[in-house]
Amino acid sequence: MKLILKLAFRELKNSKKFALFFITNLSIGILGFLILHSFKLSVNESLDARAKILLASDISISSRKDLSQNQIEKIDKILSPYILNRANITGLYSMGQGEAKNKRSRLLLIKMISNNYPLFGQIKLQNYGVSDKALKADLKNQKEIWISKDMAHQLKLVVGDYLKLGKLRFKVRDIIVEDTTSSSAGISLAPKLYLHKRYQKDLGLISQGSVASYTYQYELSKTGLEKIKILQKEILDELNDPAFKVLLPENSSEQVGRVLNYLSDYLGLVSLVAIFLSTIGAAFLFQDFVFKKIVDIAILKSLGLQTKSIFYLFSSQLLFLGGTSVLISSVLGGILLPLGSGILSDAMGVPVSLSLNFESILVSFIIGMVLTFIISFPIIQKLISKKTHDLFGGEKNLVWDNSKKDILKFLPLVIAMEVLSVWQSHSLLIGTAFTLILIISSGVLFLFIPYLLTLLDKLFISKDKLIQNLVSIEFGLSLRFLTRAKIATTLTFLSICIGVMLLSLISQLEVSLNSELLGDKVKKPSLFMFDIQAEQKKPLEEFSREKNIPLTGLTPMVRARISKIDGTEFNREDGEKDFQTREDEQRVRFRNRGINLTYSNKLNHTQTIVKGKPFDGIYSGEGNFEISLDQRYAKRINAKLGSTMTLDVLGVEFRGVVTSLRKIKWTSFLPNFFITLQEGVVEDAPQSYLGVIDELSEKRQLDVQDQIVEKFPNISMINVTELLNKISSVFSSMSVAIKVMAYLCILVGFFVVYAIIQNQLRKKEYDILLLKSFGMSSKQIMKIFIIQFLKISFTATVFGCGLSLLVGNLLSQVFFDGVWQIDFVYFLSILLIMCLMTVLLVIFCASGVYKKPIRSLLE
Amino acid sequence: MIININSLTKKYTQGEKSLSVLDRLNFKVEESKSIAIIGKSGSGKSTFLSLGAGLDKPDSGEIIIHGKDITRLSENELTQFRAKHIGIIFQQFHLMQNLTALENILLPLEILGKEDALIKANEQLAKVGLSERGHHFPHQLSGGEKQRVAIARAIVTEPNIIFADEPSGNLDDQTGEEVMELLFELVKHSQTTLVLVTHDNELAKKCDDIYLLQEHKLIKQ
Repeated sequence: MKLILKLAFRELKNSKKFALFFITNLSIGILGFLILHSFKLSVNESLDARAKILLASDISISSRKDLSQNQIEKIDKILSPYILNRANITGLYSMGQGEAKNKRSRLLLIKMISNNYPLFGQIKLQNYGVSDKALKADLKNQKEIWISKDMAHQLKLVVGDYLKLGKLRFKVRDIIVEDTTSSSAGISLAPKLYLHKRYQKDLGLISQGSVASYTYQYELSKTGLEKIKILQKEILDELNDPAFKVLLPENSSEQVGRVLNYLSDYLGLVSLVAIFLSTIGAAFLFQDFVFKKIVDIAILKSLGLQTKSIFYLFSSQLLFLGGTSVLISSVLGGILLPLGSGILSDAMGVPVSLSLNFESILVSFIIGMVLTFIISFPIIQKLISKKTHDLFGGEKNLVWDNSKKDILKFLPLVIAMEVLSVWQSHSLLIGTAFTLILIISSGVLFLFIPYLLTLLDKLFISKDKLIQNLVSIEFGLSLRFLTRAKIATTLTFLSICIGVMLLSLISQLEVSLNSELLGDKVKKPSLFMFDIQAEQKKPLEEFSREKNIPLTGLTPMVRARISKIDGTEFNREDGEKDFQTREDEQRVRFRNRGINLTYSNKLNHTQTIVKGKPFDGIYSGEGNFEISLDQRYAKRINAKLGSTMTLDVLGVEFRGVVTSLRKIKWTSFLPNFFITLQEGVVEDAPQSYLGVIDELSEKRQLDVQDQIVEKFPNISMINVTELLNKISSVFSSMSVAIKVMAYLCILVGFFVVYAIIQNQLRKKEYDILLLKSFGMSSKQIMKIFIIQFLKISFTATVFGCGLSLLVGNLLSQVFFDGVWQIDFVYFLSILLIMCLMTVLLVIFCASGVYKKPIRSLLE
Repeated sequence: MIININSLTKKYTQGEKSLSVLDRLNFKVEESKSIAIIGKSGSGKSTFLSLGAGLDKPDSGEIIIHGKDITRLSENELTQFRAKHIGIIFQQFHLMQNLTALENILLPLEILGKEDALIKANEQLAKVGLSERGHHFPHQLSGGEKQRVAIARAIVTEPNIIFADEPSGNLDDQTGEEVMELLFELVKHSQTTLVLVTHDNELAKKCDDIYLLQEHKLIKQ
């Protein structure tokens, strides 16, 4: 072994130029991956932190009924090794009366908080800034409250005024200007205020049958997400009551949680793509290395070195080169990554801290050494088992016969890809799907392309046809180079095609996710209105018209419960606590809860029917009425098109049939409901209306609030601008993150194309010299190779884009709730970029090959 | 004179050292003659051939071929000149691996844009006795067959001069002899000038004149 290592390093020492070239190229590829991977981890961390702020805790337990002391102790027991801090909050809606000049009364959301609330995030006050311990102590001791701007405006309250709530009077200490926790509960139904929890009992607002929400929040010591999910499950099992919700930051809000999950899946996918692309690039470089050593292998064999020893010799060289590249890129990454943090933080508006961590370095080592070794193994193994005589002929004379058995040698690569994919995506499903997609598409292309090339050869450049008759001599020669070198062409095609497919997939998902995140460019609402009574609908509409108030989306809301679906009682399923997927988890959460629904025969512009048909007019009263469900909600409650649903509205049961599934653009923030009934079913049930007022200036918002409150005192109005801005800013950050990831991925893709062209041109070095010796000009030769690679990259890109359409659609159905948009402009751009990049890279790489003098043919 | 070389000098630098390979070498060849250049290994035979065939540039001196000093030609002009006037046969055959035997012979004709290229290539293929092997790729041919294709390729454009670098060096004795006989016959038939670099004295004797490359100069034997 000592001799082998000595030989290996002596040889590397003597081929410094090659080693340098190899290490430089591989280092660039790995550095690209490192940047991308580190970015992914940082974005994940940063978004996790944001989600924590939205939930205000690491884990939160909430319910419409309070936890018993026994239940609290049990939860404490489960979480005790990890608890750093805890807080609790009780929320309820009640009337409050301001003791300002006009003594107005309104429905208010009262939030009674403990000392530590919020565990994450902050409540910022107009005069005192961020709420601190002293301010919270005053809430407790001085019977003070903090009120929202809406409340201050609608009740005409100022700091120092008093507000009567239940049996107590509270002094307004300050006005809330920012509340990071506000989006966790979604849009509340009334203006909110904070007071201390100690007054909960004395207020006298909570009695038997009162509706209040109780939330217990915990800050935990740093534990992995998997562990927190286990704790979440243990608590759910312990409570064993569907009334309790146990939430993690990722489920902090319907909209944010969903897109966070999309982003997490997307980042995992991009990371996988980058790993695969880096591996292709590295494999091409390694292949180059091995083929350069063919005659050396022959010499060593003829000198009597055992095949096994030669294998060790080359393996140690490969591992050394790969390892050195990883080390260099890690050092460079360590220097460059922190520099990039500032730039990205500014661009995204969230702190991005790029730095090397153990995971990034470990994955780089796996790519640089293990994966590339595994991918090179079949080639090395095959080469060294060739006859010495054949090897002496060098690469150009080596006949590369392939048998079906050779495919088996790539099995370790498949296993390694699967393991890595599952590890990186944290999902057996996504990881396996990714590996399968790659194997199937590679397999199909590998079988299909050689046949296509043979066919092309027979059809267009059949025997005795003049090359120059094929458009031009350059075109004809390049075509022959392609069709005759089937393996090389197939490998190049396959690599570019899969690379483009992956890149295109990333960018297609980017387009789709961005459209989901940022929504249509329609105006977002400024004010939400609740408790509009049926008899107020018309007067309100008239009033709005008169005062030029942009009132839209007046939607009836009826409270109901689902009793049965397809004849089965709709309760939490026994034993269904081990969630395999996020969807399972959500499905369980949604069970056995009261639900708001609406009725309408028309769709608003944020809804699209994806399955089924629109309602068939107004319900006649005979047979089942028609129901339309949000498609994701339908999945969660296990309802399909044609399912029957029994709904309970105040004890009266109605039976309907699902006749359509709708896709709803929730990011539009318009009143939308999971369940919409056909008109003519629940119109007589107790109901209220929701409405929104479109985007308004801050001043106009206050005026409109005044006008409506004056005219309709019972209507609750909430200013949602701040909340929507907050959610939009999270979405925008995500959108930038997705874009940056896609660009970084393209950077890694660039490395792959470079490695491929470099590899292929080096193989053509000898042909270039020959053509020169026959009297072909450098321009003509350059043209041949540009045309040759353009043919491959053009067709491979078109194929890759086509494949990405198929795969993307499939992926979107499985993982992204059907979020999918085709962007043909993007396809065209990627085609143009690929072609341009090919031309530039051929010119760049060929310049190195051209330097070799023709006289070397005589050597 | 088809070749007129005057005061040709070529040096290679190895590190800080300068190694003189050819030093003020003079050489003249009449049309249609066959010339053998012999010499020890490392004497500069291949360097001489690469300069004569316009594959490399000298440090000084002139190489007049067919009345043109090729040392003064630009890279493009030299390329065109080579295509028209010079054929080269390599010891390692150097066939394009992805082209068939016939396509390899066709290639130089197509580069020159000859209209009857296919007929000429087929004729040449027949002349080297490989009519049946035209659609075979190099890896399907034996060493002797490969060199026949290489000869046909060098001669098919009817160049003024053929430079051959140890054409039988990679073949067994019998095949080498057969191939060389074919080469001499074709050269004689086409009235082409042949400059043959070899270390084989017996083979050299078959040429009209023999030159020994010794101490950086050519000495007529």
